[in-house]
Amino acid sequence: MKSLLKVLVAATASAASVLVISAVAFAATPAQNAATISVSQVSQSSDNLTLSARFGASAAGSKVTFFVQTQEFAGHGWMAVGSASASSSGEATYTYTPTWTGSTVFGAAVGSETSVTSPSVTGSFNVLKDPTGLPQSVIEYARPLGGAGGVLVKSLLATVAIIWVLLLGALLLVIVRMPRLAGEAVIDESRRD
Amino acid sequence: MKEMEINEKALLAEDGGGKAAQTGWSAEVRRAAVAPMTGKTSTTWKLIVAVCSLFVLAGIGTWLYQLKHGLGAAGYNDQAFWAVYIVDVIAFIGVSYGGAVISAILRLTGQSWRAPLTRLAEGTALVTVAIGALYIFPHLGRPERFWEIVVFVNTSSPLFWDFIAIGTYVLATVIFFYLPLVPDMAIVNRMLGKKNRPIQYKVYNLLSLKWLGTEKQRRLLHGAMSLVALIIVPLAVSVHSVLSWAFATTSRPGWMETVFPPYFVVAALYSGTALVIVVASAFRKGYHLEKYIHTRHFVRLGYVMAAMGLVYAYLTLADLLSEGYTGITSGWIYQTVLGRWAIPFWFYVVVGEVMPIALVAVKRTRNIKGMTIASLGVVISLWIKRIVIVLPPVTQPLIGNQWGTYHFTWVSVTITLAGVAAIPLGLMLLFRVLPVLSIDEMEEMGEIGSTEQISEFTAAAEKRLAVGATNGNGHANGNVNGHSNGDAVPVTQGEVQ
Amino acid sequence: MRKVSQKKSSSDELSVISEESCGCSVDGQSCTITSMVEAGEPAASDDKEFSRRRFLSLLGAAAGAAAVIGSGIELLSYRAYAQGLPQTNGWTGNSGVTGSGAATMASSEAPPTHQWAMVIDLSMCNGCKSCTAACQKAHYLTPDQTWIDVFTLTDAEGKTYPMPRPCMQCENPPCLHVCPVHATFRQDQGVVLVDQERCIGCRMCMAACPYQARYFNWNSNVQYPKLSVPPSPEMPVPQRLGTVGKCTFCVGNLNNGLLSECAAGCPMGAIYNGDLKTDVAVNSLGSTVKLSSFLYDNNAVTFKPEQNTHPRVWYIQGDGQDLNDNKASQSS
Ligand code: SF4
Ligand code: SF4
Repeated sequence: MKSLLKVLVAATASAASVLVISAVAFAATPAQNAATISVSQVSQSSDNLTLSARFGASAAGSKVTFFVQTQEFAGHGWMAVGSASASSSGEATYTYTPTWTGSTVFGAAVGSETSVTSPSVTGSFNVLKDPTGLPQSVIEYARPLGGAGGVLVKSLLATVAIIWVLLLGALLLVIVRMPRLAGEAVIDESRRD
Repeated sequence: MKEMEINEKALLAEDGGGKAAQTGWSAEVRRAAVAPMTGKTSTTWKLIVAVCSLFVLAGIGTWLYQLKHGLGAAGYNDQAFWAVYIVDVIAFIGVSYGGAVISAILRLTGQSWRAPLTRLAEGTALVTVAIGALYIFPHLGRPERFWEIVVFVNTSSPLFWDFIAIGTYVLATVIFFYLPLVPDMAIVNRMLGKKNRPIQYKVYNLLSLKWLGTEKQRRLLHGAMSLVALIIVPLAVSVHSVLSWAFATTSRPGWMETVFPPYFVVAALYSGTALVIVVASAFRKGYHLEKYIHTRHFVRLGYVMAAMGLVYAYLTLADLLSEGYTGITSGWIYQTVLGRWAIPFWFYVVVGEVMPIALVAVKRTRNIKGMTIASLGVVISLWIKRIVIVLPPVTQPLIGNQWGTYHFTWVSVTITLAGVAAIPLGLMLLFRVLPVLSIDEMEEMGEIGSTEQISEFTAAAEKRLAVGATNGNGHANGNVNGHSNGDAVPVTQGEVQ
Repeated sequence: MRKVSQKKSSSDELSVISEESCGCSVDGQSCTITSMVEAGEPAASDDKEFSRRRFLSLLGAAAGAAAVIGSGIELLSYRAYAQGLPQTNGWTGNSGVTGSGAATMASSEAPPTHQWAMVIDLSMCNGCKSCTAACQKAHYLTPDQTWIDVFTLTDAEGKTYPMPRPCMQCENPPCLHVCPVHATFRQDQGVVLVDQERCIGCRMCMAACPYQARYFNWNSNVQYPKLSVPPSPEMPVPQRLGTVGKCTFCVGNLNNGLLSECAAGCPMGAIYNGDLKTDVAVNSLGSTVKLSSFLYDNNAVTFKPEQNTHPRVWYIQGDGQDLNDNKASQSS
């Protein structure tokens, strides 16, 4: 299906911080014989894309579902990401945050939550924020002694070290001093004699 | 072994400091302590050593079998992944702890009646801690990788701290055993001479550190011993606490208990005291130490044991009650008290608590025989109690309601019996090369009279105390310094207090 | 045909610049929407847009209580973070940067492109244990070695229901913390693995795991086939006697774009493999869902959230089912 669609990219020279990819194609649903979907990415700080789909005036007020095509788990299926109502001119927009880097194929449909009725449009994006994984700070917050770990370990090891020093020190002292004391005693006695 | 002759001249204390030396009592002590080291061993001795060695060898062989066939041979499975061997580790290190702490506390508080017991207690501590630490190997699935604990250290693992704690405790036990040996090495060498034992003589000579028994040497030795005794008490407490945290830091109901550290520590003291009584009783008989170890030694240790037993009963109740009351995770409690572990649990209650405490409480049974039976009950039932602590929570399902089971197999039983047999074996071999009594200490503490004299004396002291108390003057006067004069009335601090 | 250059800088520039691209024909509108989003308003009134708005109020309720945020909400929180929503609960996120997201990419090496997760739909599971069978076959396990096991729990009406349990791939894994030799480790895609060449077999991890997810190689009489690849933590075949094992999430499959064996083997499509990073989840019937919305819509929970393990496996409960009802998981 994808290969049948012709993707046109409308390139307009303008501010570098704006990217517009739009695709025009024809005939997917009988009801709306001319559908357009476009993607725009606005200034970088927001990290969002705007998807807009135009299904013509006949679609006014109906629910438009937006899709992306996934690339994982052998599925490569259309994944509904969200929906919006079409305006009176039959246009719906949806703000989407890209979740993978590289090429993404978008689609839209009126009245279906499983299959795309519009042509697809491809854009290439970077994911700027890395949202996944529980932040370490949260894990440590969740474990009462999480933050104290380093200090605790060091002080415990220090305690162990002190005990070893004391034990071995006592032993060493005895081993070293004892024969000397014996020597002194022998000398003392010989003097006394 | 070659015959060794006791040098009669060396029977007298050379330093003159041993207060009882001149009475000839010292000579008797020396003869009794060193006798087992000479070549003459009885047939019974040989028989016991042979049987115990057989058990130990069987255990080692079984362990090799287990290494080849896997821990499954010992009855383990995924819902009983910790069982007999970890219980052995806890039980053996526990009894060791008891021996060491009893000896250390008596030493620190200056209880002079301890003298004939210290060597036995410390020897027991040494032998059992070695056995207990060795049980880690059958417990591990891959014992040959044990060294990795030191190389790939993970300080957040309870087992790393177990390793540190046990290692430190072993070191302390060895030093604690060695220090009082210093004078005895010298005495033994003088008594047995160089003939027929040249190597032993050399080693002992080295270990005796040129001991002459001068005042300064004595002071040095006592200082070091006090320091080590001081360290060994909190150390032993922490070792057993850390052992308990291997359980209590998991989220398993029945293990994740705040009561666990003291629970384990008291269990260790309880069983340790009991084992000291058993060992003392056995060696008293076997090594003819009746003259030095008296009923009162047993009774006093029996009191300590009974006190520990009461505390342990209290902790057991505390452990079971709170969780059993809320009932949220009480499956293991039901199984312990009324379910599949009810028999071992109630065995512990009867044989491990009621019976020993009753034997101590009733005056008629407060004798050597009674105490020995009581302590045997304690030692055995506390091993079983540990099984009851480990198995119900480990077999309790964490999801669903499929309980696990554990079946004892000949493998686990043989390996455990090997450890049991290793205690007498280790001690008998140990006292084949080292004096069974702490000669120097006994000479220092002075003669302790026969049982009859003592009881007479105790009665007198009690009377005096009672009078003192009624007079509002609780101070019993008299001869209360640690050293008796070696004549007339053998008075010791322990007696009066 | 399209050349993409990635600019790894901390400026406000685009990270992706297409050669022929640009134009701002519709960006006025886009900008408006963006600012609305930032103001915490829903971008559209449709209820598919739920997650953001409802989520915001949830975040407010959960403010300052990160420690007690359990179950599916966590994941949504990540997504909220991803979508640049206000950080009302004190999270700083992985990057530690809230303003300029570009800084994340600029710093050090790129983070892994996948973070594996799983969703198990209990309302779909019929308890046929096909997942267990498929897993055991693929990994040459003995019958009692269950990487994924199906337990029977009881719901509010006393009816029983099946509950498949793989390793939860905890983000705060107790099994990892207690391993004395670091034989248990967490790879960069969030999968907790066991190095059987290092494991000393102490079974501390089995004691620590609240989900009974680990087993031990107790017996030497297991026969293994000879594979072309040597055993690795991801595919421990043959397994080593005297070491522990557990579910590996089939991380090799996942990285090769395949479903895990259990998910693929489930005839009901009850098991979804998910990727937190791309926010995608797929089951054996090919249904592809947006992970965060899927969890939120279905009130997904994690098992035993009170254990603080933060599992990567979520459960969708059917009518009356309550996974975390103590009576169901503890009985005498
Ligand atoms: S059994 Fe192996 S993986 Fe588990 S804690 Fe011990 S060494 Fe680590
Ligand atoms: S479920 Fe168990 S084995 Fe798996 S990561 Fe969590 S604690 Fe570890």
